[in-house]
Amino acid sequence: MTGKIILPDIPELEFAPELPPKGPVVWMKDNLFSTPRSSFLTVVGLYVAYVFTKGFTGFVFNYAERRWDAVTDNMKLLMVYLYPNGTSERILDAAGEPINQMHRVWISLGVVIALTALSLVFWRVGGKMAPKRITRTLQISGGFLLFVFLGVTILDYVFGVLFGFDFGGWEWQFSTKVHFWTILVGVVLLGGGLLVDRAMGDRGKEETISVIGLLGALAVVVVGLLWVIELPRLSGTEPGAPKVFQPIEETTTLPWTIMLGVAFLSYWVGVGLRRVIPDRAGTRVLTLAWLVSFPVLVMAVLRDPGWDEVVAPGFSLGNYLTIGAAFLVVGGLVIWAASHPAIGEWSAAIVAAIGVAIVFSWSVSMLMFIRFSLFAVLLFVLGAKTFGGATQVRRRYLLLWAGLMVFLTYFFILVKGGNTVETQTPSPFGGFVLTMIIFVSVMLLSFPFGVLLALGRTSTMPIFRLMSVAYIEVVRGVPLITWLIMSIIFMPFALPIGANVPDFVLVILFYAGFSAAYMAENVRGGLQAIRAGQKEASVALGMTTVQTMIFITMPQALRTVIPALVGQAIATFKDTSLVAIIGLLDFLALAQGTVPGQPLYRGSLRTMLIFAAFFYWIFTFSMSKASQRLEKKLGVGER
Amino acid sequence: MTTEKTLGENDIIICEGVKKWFGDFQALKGVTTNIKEREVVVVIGPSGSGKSTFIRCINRLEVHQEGRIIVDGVELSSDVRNIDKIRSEVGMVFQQFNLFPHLTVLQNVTLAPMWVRKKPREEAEATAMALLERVGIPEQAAKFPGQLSGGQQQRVAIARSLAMEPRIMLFDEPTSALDPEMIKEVLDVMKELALSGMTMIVVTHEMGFAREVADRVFFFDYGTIVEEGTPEHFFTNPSHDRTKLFLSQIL
Repeated sequence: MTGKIILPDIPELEFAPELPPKGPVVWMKDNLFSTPRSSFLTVVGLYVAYVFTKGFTGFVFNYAERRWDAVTDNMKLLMVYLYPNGTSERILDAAGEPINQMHRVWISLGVVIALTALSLVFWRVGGKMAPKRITRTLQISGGFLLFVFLGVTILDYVFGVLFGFDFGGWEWQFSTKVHFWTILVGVVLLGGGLLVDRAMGDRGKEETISVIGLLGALAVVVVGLLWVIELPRLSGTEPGAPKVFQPIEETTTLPWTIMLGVAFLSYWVGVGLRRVIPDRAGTRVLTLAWLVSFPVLVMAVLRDPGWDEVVAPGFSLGNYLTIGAAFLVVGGLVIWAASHPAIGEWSAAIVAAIGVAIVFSWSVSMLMFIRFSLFAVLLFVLGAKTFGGATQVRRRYLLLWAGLMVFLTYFFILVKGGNTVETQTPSPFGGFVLTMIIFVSVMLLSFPFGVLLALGRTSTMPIFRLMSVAYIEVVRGVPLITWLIMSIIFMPFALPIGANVPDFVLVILFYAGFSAAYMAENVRGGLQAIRAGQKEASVALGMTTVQTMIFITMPQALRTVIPALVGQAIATFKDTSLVAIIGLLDFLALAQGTVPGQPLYRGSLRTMLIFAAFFYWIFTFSMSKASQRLEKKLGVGER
Repeated sequence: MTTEKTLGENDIIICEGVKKWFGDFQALKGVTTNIKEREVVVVIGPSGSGKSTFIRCINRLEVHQEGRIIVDGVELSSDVRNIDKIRSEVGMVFQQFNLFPHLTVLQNVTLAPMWVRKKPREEAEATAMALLERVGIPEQAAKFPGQLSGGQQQRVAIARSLAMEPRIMLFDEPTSALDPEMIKEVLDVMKELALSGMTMIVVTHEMGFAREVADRVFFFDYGTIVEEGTPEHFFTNPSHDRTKLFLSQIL
């Protein structure tokens, strides 16, 4: 049989038919009341929402004992605890005036904001957004306000007055003023959202609004409101004493305005820089800046170390500089030799010699700086075969060594240099600053340690595998809070006599060790998800096991476990609040203990807890949103 | 068809009684053969006959338990330094491509030359672009493997192996995972490579390729070489019954 042509021409493209938009009644019938069961669930769900929001928002907006003044009055305490702000009678300068050190906090915040703005530019965060999404958000929040303030009142009236049910009396305490304004805001949001939506029509669905621009505008509005709305400030100590408005320079209005300026300036500088600097170089420099900025801000800016023996007994700046320079030069020579292609068996001899030196350094009394520097030399010599080679590459490797050594020297000088920011407490840190310091330190320390543990656990070498498994199982088997208590109660006895390690440092070390065990299990999951062919292809190209791990397996494994790692970061952030139990004054400890403990703010505990919960939530929610964007960008789950 | 190229004098691969077990299952039952420089060997045979295991033993992705394998004068043993040296001399192309999905095409090709051969980045990139040109996809250099068709991915994989300037190329069923429309573009690249004088061992079911390009054809079954010979001998006058049966089923 001969064939015949069925299709004479290639058919033209057809567009999918456009469905007419659904009306609200049809939508509700389709989605909320489609079957008897779903109707039942809708009614029950609405009732639960009604009871919950009534109780919760009733407290937030109407409850007679709410004490939002406790939050605003104690904001500085909650953020930085007793960091000197020029009010303490105990911390005076030579002239007898109280010292104000708050500019250090603002400088740190400014650096973080500047780095964030630059990162937004170089990582190209933020795209376009459809106006429809914004108007919908407005409608939903307006609808929520109306439901709470109008709907609940009406429902209460219906249930309480017409049917005689009594759901508790306080809902009638809606103060008329708050009630009126909130309902007005609700109407404006809902109505405005609907009107704009109607006016925009189909254009509202096009993605035309820049997300970054929107956030910038929002920040301008919020900071602008600080200038317009005068927050009541504490004055006098008598409960119920009238509050006066403080002049602007004593509030945070001006600093926040400067921060806003820093944000905008950095963003535009970043936009300008991106025209000159390639993205890859920019993101690398920024990553390094983020990593270095944390210890420098905490140790150098917030603590302000001193360089003489009065502040830090037994410390000599000259010694540290000499040792650092010696390691830089001698270590550099050794690494230069070890990275020579013709080094051969001599490499093993160098490694052995350094190994002996390390054992020696830990068995006698020796500066921690020397011990850690020896470790660094060993690490670089071990990596020399993998990362060395051609002269160009060796030079870059040596440059990396110099950079690390400079940073190590600087870091140890900072640590040993003592603390010249005088506070009423042994450690200058408390409040939200302490929470952040614990969180970031734990993440920074536990990440490399966790990756090492994961590698150990998947290693073919039995001794590493056994040690990793034992560590992970022991650490995970004991509750975190037990480890934290042990860090404070037990460690001072295990440390050498005279070693004066602050409590929060011990807590960070133990917490990091704990977190690393979980990190290891997450990373191991990622390693197992990689197909065997990847490793085969890599070794078939002649790459060593270490190179395969660094360039092929680990990047892919970490990409797959980003959701798990962010989940762990969020958990770590929240669990920093456990240190409140062992007496560290972090954000939660202040919110639930210190603030309500003041006579002036007696009875503010519930308000403070709501505020603390909301404050933690803002951060964790941002983290989870950021991770979703990161996942999308890296294409996880689309392979 | 025989080409104008002349085979080298020396045996670049020597196998003597190579045996390999997976648990109780014996995959290789004593393979003995010599392969000369610039020779193109095509290995055919039913699945499970040990042909993949054989070429995976040659760059020690599988470890043989008995017998000797000598590649380019170096005997494969458990000495790690020998293995790394051999692996950088022996390129391998896989059935599933195994490109690195988190790297761009260019990075896939330059990674090993930069870190194993220690070439400067500029030189590695120049070589890589020349190789991508040779396999016909220079315009895809900045893309990620996931954005390429199967045939393009396999050609990148070939370029990636060639970037190490290997003396021997192993192909493990390079076209078996491809759509029929894409097989030809990969085979064309392989033919060009064979004509340029590369020593190649190709496991494949593409009989046209074997007939046209091979200097010798191995027929594998039961974990050993059942019959070997020139393509003419093999496709016109096979002597072993098992070979006749196999060819009658696939041709």
